[in-house]
Amino acid sequence: MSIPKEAYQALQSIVGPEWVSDDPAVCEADRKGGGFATGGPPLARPACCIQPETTEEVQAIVKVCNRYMLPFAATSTYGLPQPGSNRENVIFMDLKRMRKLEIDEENMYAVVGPGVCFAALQGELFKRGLVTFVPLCGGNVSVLANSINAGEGATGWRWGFKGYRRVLAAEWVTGDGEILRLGSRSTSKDFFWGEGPGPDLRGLMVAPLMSSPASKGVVTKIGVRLFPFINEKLVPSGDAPITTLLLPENRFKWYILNFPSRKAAIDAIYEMGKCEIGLLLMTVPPWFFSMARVRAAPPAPTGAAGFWDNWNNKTGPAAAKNQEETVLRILLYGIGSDKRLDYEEKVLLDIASEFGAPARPTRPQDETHFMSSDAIVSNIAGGRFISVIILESLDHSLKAADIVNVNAKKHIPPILEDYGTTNWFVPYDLAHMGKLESLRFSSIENQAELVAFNQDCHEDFLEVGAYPAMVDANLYGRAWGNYPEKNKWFKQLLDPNDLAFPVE
Amino acid sequence: MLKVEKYRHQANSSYNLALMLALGLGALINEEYRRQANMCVRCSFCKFIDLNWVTSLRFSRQCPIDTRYAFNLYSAHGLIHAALAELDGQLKFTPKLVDALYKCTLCGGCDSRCKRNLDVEVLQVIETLKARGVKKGNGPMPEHKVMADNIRKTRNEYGAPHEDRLKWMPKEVKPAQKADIVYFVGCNSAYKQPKLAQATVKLLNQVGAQFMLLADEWCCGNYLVSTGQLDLAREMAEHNIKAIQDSGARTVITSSGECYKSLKVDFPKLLGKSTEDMPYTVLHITEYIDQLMKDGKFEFKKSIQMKVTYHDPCNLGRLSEPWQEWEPKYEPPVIPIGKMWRRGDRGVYDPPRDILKGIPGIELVEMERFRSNAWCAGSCGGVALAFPDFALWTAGERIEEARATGAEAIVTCSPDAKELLAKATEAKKIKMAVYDITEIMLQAM
Repeated sequence: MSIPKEAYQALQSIVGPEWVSDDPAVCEADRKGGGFATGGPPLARPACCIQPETTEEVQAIVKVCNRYMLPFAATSTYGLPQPGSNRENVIFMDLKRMRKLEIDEENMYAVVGPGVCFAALQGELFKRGLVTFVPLCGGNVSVLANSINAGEGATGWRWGFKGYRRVLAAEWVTGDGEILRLGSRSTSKDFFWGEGPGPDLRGLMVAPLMSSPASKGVVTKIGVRLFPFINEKLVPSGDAPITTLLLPENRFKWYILNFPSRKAAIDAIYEMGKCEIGLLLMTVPPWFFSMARVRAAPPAPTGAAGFWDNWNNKTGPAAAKNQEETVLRILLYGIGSDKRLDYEEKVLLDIASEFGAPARPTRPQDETHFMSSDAIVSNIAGGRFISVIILESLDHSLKAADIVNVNAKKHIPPILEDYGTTNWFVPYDLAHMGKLESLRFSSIENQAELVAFNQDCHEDFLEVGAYPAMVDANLYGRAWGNYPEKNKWFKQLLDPNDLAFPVE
Repeated sequence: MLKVEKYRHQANSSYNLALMLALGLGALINEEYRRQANMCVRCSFCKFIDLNWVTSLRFSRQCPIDTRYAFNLYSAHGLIHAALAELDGQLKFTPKLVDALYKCTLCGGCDSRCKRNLDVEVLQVIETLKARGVKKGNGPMPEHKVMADNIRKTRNEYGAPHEDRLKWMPKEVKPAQKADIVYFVGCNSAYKQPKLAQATVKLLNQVGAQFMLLADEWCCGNYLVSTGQLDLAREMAEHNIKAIQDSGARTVITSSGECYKSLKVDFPKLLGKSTEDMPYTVLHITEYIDQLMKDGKFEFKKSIQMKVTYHDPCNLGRLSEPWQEWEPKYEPPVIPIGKMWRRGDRGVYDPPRDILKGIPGIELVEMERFRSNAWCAGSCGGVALAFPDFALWTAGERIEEARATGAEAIVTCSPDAKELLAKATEAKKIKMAVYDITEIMLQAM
């Protein structure tokens, strides 16, 4: 694998020799992205890695790629998606030097480059009485990459389903090296609004429900909508790895509710949505309780031993005996005042009583929703995990949960014991949207079985009208209005040489 | 000279990967080495401080090489991936791989971060990759070889005469001929910054501690371990352990973060033992004085009106947890049996802080990255020897962070870190005093 000397020199002249390398070790380190179980083809080692710092440098790199017909891919902070290509001679752009962050407090939006991660943005926002929602995959991931991809956060119950809905104006280098400026950025320097002028092209930039078959370029800057937040500090506490944020008790209150059935839990969630209470809520699948044991205090077993000790000896068998019992967790939020918190609590307790769910408050702290996220811990159970996900209504989630459980039985073993219940319901937009996420674990050696299980589920999901998320759109194109074909048309328009992230 | 037979029985049942490799037991380690490397899912948690503690974009990052060089290879995540490729014969030790390996300060931030979620032995994988490189002739750096030559010839890393090792001793202090406590001085305090050694013995004297010095102290070998020169490191460990045993002392006190970690972690690790098996207990001077304060036997009298911030040396913080030998045994699928984890949360974090808070007039303010989240000052891993510019940049980042607190001075517990931080204040023309904590304590007596 090698690229023409002239092309390499041209790349050096764009970013300077320090920020481009064709050393095999540098390139090898960018050959793989996230390590969760996927069924995609193995990616090729890039021919060189380059680190631009501005949109104009990205544009110049893309133009060089088009001149020499070199495929390109880009990443920034890593995380779950696996960027790259399986073609030879890929130019790999690492965008983490693009750490631009501007916060417009008055107009409540921020402009971020690809190298800004959620935790850093959130840390800056807390100082200004503002907030954004951190995706479930972690505060370590790029705000930009996650927002234009499949990002979603638990506080999406209140602040909106899916990260791409917070995207305002944007700058985007298309596959042929043009800079597209969307929304207000097209006519001015600000990123305040994303609509128009003319057709809203953000839909071509994002991969909302299902993975895009191929990218159409590199997004280099976006404006993101922010939300007002309390002016009190969320105080970090504890030494890593066991850390938490202490929540002001006059503004936040966690409750755990135990519903006698999944149906009762879902119906109660609809009621909570109608009453507009809570900042986030979700069901708590039994394995969550076992995952919490990963960071138990010694001498109790910790790590993988902590998980399996609890899962095999306590939580799992108990869950197997009562498949219907559903635990719900809700964070009440006095958004404007202490009185608002009192109101939310009264409404919640009324609903709990109506649906026969005992309710109890829990500690006023948060480990994983405002700054961090511990989804990655799911790998500790066996080495790899997979999330089988559908996005539709909560009613669809219920149907999909049955499908998942039936299919899981076909793959256990080698998929690790699930005791028949690892389903997780996460509603968004005050119950307008519902997500079922079902996690299953395997050893690293058996991860192909996870992929097979995922595919079995997806085929059945379509029959009940539920949309499987984060899967190859080419597999289910007909069911989705032939979206992949239309996407190819746009791809041809914006990346005529088919150089952006090609994966065959 | 390797003493394979002597250690084979321990090493056979060890997860001390680098040791086993050095002993020529490479085939045995591959399974565990691969297991650890395979567990990495490239999530990048290793690149940031614990996310709940992030308060700004500027000081959110954990890894110096990742922050400065940004190529993914320059991070735990990238090095682990390179380790797998090298193990599989898909990658050789290229110039950039060697560069990344030796610029890595082995500060352990990545290791601590990973153990929030995945428990990968990140540091062990990087150390092993480095040891594999040394074995194949790719490293250490020329400066590290000079350091090793110095140590071999003069028993200190600077090549200074061995007979001058105790030249710093103030006349007014008379160490005991026999005592339960022995003060382990360290090369830097003995030769480069003798006032730190002098401050330490004066402190011990003033609190009435009976202590002695080793008749023949050698370099602790901290940088030999971190540069993959394990044979010579083991020689240093064996000599010093014998010297301690011969002295009859049961407690070793040191004021150097580097020596503390060597005595507590590296010595047992090099010999295939656990910390609890060592014939002595190690205390940092701050642990000793803090305990006296907590027992009501000592308090600082003099006031020092100063706003200070404290820099946690990596060697005294997240790297200093006790070492436990462990035979890699797993129950399916991946449950380690009987393993004691080192996750970075049990380092020496409180004693230095409690001491500073116990000095009248001192106001302690924390930097954004502190305790197990501390940013490395750049002096770890022998990086300052081979890559002084990068080490100075790393220290400069720390000084900028200290300045943001509004502190007048930065205090630390590592002679090497103190030296580098002081250089950084000069280079950046930042008016900030840099102290070792022994100097502050002595002032307050």
